[in-house]
Amino acid sequence: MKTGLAAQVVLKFFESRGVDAAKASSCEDFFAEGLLTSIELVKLAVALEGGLGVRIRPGDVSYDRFRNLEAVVGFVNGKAREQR
Amino acid sequence: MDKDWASALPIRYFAWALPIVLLCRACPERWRKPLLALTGAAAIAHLFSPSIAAALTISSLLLHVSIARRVRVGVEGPPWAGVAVASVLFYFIYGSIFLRYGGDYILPEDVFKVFLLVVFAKKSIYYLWESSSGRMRPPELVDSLVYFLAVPFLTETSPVFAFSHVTESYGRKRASHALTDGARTTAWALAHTLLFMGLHRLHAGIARRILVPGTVATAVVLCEIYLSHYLRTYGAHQLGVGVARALGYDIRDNFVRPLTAPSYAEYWRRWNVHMREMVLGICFYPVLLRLTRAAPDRPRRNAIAAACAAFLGHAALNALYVFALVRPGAWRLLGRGLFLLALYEASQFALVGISLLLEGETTPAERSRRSALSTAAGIASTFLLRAASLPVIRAALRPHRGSVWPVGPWSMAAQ
Repeated sequence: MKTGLAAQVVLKFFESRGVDAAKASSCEDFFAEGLLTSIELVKLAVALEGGLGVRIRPGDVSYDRFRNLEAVVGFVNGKAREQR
Repeated sequence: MDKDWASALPIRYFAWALPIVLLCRACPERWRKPLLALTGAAAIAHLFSPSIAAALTISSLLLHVSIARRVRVGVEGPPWAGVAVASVLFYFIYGSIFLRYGGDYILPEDVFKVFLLVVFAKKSIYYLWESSSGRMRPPELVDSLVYFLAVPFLTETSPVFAFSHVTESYGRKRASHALTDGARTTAWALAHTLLFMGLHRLHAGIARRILVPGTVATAVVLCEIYLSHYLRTYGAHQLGVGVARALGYDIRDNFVRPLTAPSYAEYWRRWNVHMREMVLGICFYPVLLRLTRAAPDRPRRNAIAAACAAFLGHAALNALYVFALVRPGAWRLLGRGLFLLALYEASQFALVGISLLLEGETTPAERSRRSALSTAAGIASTFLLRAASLPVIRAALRPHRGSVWPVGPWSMAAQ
């Protein structure tokens, strides 16, 4: 899986929620900025599973891992390495 | 007594924490964490009876030993050895081995110990859950001891931080930046405590003036109690966050402007963020993830079911306080406390559930386009509803009918 693919899935998710890709890319904290809630976080996790084929466990879903684009990409890449 | 204790505790805690911060900051980096753990153990030994101090220290060591190898090797399944250690500790706490009761309730001077022990119990549950959920990296002994014993993570009804968040946030900022950030957070927390003290004086004045209780008078007093509760809680929790930041732990704020939350669901997203993260991690996300995978086209039903699971988990954690405050065997009082707690949690679930249904499938873009009038109405209604429900949980967790709160060890030691 390419690193860029994870970012694309995240940005596509935000675009479907009416959020500009540039805003989502530069956002430091999705939760503080109101771009993500706990319910939308799970939807994003399911979108990542569907788009990238990674299996996300309930324990994987946390504030720190989904705080911003960089954190999500880092987390997804870690999961992909683990499952390879 | 209540007011003096509640307001004096954060200030006296600060007087304890300040020398520890200065000492740790002055020593070389490699000695900082061991020194922090050591000062935490020393504080516990000084403040509490030898049995409590020994129990907390030994439990911390055993909890670490029980999970360290499992996490390193990547063993799946529940950490039974750790669960056994925690169970023994809980038995000692709830079997009234450590605590003293005057009649059916805990002695006022032991209430502080109850809060500390319950926070310790919650931390051990969180620690064990993180170890089995894949969130935790292989822990070092010193990190575990800091997490369980060190002063920043030992404040009264302190927020229960995740072990993963504590360890991964260490050293994220440069030392000078961390110190400035910590000082700013601490100063802001102390300012909230001072405001709380001022509001309490005002409260006495309001209570004296309102001779004929009426709807408006009751609403004013409830709002004042809520505001006062917020100021005190913010002051106490954020003080721990500030001290941790000054020591190099880049801990998140525990409150995100909850008084201005435009809906009840939003209020719970902003209040006691760390505790919320624990409840969501253990109860909410597993249910919602499973339901969303199975039925993605039913988001409202999924969210309500997950919120129900979250409030059940929240109730179970709050019940730890009720069990510890009432003497074992005082079934009638225990029943009263648990009934009030159930009433409170059910009311909160109902309010959050209604709020989630009203929110529906609102996108972030739509949320940002709300009119000022709609936002103001949301803030006001959330504030009033929260103010109205707060007395129920306060009654459930009240150790004595007269609300006599103790002179805690932090304050006694500083006298």
